[in-house]
Amino acid sequence: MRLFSLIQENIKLSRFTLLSVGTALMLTIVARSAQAKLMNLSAFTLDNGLQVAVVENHKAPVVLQQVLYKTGSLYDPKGKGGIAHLLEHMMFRGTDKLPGKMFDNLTQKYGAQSNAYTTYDETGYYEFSDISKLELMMALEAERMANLKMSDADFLKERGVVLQERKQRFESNPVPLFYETLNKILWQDHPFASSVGGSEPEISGLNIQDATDFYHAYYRPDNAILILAGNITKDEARVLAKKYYGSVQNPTRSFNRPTFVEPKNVDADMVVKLDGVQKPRFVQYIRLDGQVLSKKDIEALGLLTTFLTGDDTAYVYDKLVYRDKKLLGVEVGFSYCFGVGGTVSFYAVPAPEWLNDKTPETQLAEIKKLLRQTIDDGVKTLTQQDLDKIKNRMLSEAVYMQENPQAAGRFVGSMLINNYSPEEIMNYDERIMAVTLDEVLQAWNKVKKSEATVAGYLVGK
Amino acid sequence: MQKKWKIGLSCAIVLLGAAVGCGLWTDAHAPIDAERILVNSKLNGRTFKGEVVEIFADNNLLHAYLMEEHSVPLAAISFGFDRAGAAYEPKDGVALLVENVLMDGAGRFSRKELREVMKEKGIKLAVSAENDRLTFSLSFVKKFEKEALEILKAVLYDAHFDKNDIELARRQLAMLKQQQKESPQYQLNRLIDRTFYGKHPYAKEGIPDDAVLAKVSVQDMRDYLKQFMAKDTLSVGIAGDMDGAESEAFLTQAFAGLNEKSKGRELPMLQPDWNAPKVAEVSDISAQSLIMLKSLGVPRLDDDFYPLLLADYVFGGAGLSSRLSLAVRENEGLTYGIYSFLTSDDTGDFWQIYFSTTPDNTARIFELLNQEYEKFYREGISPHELDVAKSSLLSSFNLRFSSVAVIADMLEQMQVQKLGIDFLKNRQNQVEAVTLEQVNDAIRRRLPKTLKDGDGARVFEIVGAARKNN
Repeated sequence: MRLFSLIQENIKLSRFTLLSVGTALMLTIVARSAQAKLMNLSAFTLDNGLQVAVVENHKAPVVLQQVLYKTGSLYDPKGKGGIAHLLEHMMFRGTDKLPGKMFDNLTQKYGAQSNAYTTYDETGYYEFSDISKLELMMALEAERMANLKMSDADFLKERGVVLQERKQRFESNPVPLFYETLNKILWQDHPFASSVGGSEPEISGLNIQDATDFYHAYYRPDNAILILAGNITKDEARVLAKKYYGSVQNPTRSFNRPTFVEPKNVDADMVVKLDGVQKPRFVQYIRLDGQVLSKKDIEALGLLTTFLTGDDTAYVYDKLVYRDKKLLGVEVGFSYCFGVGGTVSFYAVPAPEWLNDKTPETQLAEIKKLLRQTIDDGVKTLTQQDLDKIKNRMLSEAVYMQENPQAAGRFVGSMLINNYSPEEIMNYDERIMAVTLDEVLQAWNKVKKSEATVAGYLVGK
Repeated sequence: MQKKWKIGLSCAIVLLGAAVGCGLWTDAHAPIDAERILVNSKLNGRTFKGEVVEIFADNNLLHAYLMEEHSVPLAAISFGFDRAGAAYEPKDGVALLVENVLMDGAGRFSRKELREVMKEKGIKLAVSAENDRLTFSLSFVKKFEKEALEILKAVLYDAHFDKNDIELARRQLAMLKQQQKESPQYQLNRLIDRTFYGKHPYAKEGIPDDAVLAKVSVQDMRDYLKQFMAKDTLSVGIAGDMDGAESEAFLTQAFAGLNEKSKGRELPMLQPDWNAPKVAEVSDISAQSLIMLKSLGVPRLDDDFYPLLLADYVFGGAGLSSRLSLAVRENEGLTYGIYSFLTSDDTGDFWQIYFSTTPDNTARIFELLNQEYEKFYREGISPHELDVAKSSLLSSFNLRFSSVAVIADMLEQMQVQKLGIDFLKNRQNQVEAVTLEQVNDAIRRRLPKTLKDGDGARVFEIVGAARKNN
C-alpha cells in the first residue's frame, strides 16, 4: 500500500469483478508510454474493414486477444442510458452456434481469462489464453460479432444482474453519487453527464429491442479492432484473422456517429453532504469541448500533469502535501475523447488541521483558490529541463511493455481507440520527445480558456 | 430477432458459415466444434522452456530459485520473509509504518533522489507488509543492475525513517482509516476480526489508531527490520536476464548482511468455534448486504488439495460458469457476483463463499446456496464437470509465465508453500491424476455437512440498512 493512492476514481465497468475491484482511469492516454523499438507491432485491415494489430512477443506460449468496438455509453440513445453496457453483458448469452452459457463454459474449460468492459467510447472483450487455444477464442469472438441471439428470458435475467451491479457500486459507497452529481451540472445534456452504466430507472426500462438495435448498429467489423499480443507472428495472425473474421459482413446500412451539443457555460461550486462520508473530498472539473484539443495538446497535457502530480515528489504534491502540510493528497487528472470532449480534474483531500474550524463552503473556496494558485505557479516554473526529465521517465517505464504482452496489447488498444494510427503508435516515443515547452504552455492556455467548471466538496451529513 | 446480414462461406472449417450462397443453410444450429478447432490448430505444441534451478550463496545460508529468460534485457526479483508480517510485529503498527516510509529516502538518496533515479533508470521496488510476511518485489533493466542493487541495499539496511516522513504517513493513515470506514467491506472484515479471530493477532485492525502509531519509534522500526528480516526465513525468486553466477553474486551482495536467525515466533494457534451461530451486524452506511461464509479448507501439501481445488472450481470457483453462479446470478439475476475460494494463511486453511446483494434477495440466495450445497455434498460432481475443471487448470498453466515479474513471484511462492523445485514439472501430472472418486470422497470427508450456521460453517453478514443517498 502506498499512500500516494489516497485519491482514486473508477469509471470503467466490468462484467464481473472479484473481491477487490480493480481501478482504471479510462481515456487517459499518457499514463504509460511506448517506444516503437521496444514493441514489435504490425497492423493491417481486412477487406470487411476490421482493423487488426499484432504485437509479437515470443517469450511464453500465451496470447491476449482483444476485440474492441468503437462504441460505448456515448452512443446510448436518449432515455436508454446503460444499453451499451447491458449489451456487453448479453454478448455472453449465446448465439445459435454458442447456445446458452457455452461461451463462458468454453473459455473456462480451456483456461482463458476472459472478461469485458464498457467505457464512454469503447466496449472491449478479451481472452488471455494459452497460444494453443487462440483459434478457438477467435472462433468464439467472431461468432458473437456476427450472430448474437438474445432471448427475452435471458435479457430479463441479465438486466437484473446489471441492476445489482449498479446497486453494488452506488449503494455500498456514497462517493460515486458525488461524482455523478457534479458531472450532471457540468455536462447537462451531453452523454458525459451520465455514468457509463446508466441510472436505475433507465436500466429498468431497457428492453430487448434496444439491445438488438444497438448491436446491429455498432457491432460490425468496420467498427471494430482486433488485437493479438503474444506468441504469434504477423503472418500467422493474418491467416487466422482472415479465416475467422474475414467472412463477417457489415450490415448494408451505414451508421452515424452521434453528434454532441455543446453544453452551456457554467461556473458552479457545491457542497455535497451525504450519509456515510468520513473522508472529505474536493474535486474541480474543467470541461473541454470536443474540438478544443489536438493530439499534440493531449501529449503535452499528459507531460504537464505528470510534472504537477505524477508522484509524491512532483511540484504540486511536494508543495501542498510535504511542505505546506495543507493537503493529504492531491492529483491532477486528465481525460479527453476527440470530437466528444474531456475534463481536466483537480482532486484534493485537505488535512484536517488546516481548515477544521471553517464551514464546508469556506473550505471549498479555500481549497479551490489554493489549487489554482499552486498549479499556476507550477506551470510558470516548468523549465525545459523539467520537461526533459519527465519525458525520460515516461520512456524508461516503457521498456516493461516489451516483455509483457498484456500490457503492450492493452496500450495498443487504447491508442487505436483514441484514433492513433499504428504508425503514430510505433513512433510514440518520438512524438513525446518532440513536445516543446511552448506547446505545453499553449495546451494549458486552452484549458484555462474553458468557461465551464464545477467544483464540489463532499462531506458527511 | 431478424438477421441483418448474412455470413458468406468461410474457410475449410465452416465455422461461421450460417448461410452459403443464396439461402442454402448449413449447420445453422450445430454448436461450434471446439475440440476440432483445437486439434487442428497450427498453434499447438508450443511450450515454455524455462527451467528452475536453485542457486546457493554465502555458505548455503542463502538460496534462491532462478529461471533464466534472456529474450528481454529485464530481470525481476521477488523476495520476502516469513513470520515478519503485521501479525508478527513486536509492537502494533510497526510493520505498517515501515511499509509506508521505507522508500522515503535511504543510503545516499533523499526521498526525491530515490524517486528520480528509479524513474529515470526504470527500476521498480515495492514493499508490502502482509499479515504473515514482509515482501518485496524488484524489477530492473539489466544495464542498471548495479544501481538497482545499490538502492535495494540502501532500503534494506539504511532507510532514513525521517521524522517528517513518518509524521506525514501517520496523518495520511489516519485519513485512510476514515475512508475505510465508508466501506461495508471494512465493516465485514471487522465483524470477522471480532467474532472469528477474537484475541488472535489476526484480529488486529489493518490501520491502528493514531495513538498506537504515535508510540512507534524510529528505533522500533529499525529493530523490527533487523530482527525480522533474516536468512532463515527468506525466500527469493529470480527471473529474467540473469544467469546463475550473476544471481549468486546478487544474492550475496543483497542479503549476506542479514541476521542468520529471525526473531519471528509462531503465532498462537487459532481455534475457531465452527459451531457458533451466524453473526450479523446492521450497517448504517450500506444499502447492500455483504455475506461471507467460512469453513475449514485444506493445506496446500495435503493429498486432498487438488481434489478439493477441482471440487471448489465446480461449485463456486469457476467464475460465471460455476454451479453457484449459474443458480444465483445467471438463472435468477440476484447478485452481481457469488463465488467460493480456498485460502491458506498462517492461521490455517479455509474454504470461503462470498456475495453481496440487496437485502431483499438475501433469503432467496441462501435458499439456493443451501440447495446447491446439499446436492454437491450428497452427489459430488459429475465426470463431465471433473473433465472441464481439469481442462481449465491444465490449460491455464502457461499463463503464469506471462512476465518475468509474475515468474519471480511464482518462484518465491513455490518456496513459501514448500512445493519443491520440481513443482512445475509435476503439477500437470498431479492435476491429471485426480480421479472422480478422490474428489467426491474428499468433499464428504473435508467439507462441512451443510452450510447452515452452527453446522461446521460460520456465517457473517453485514445487513444493508442505510437509506439511499438520493
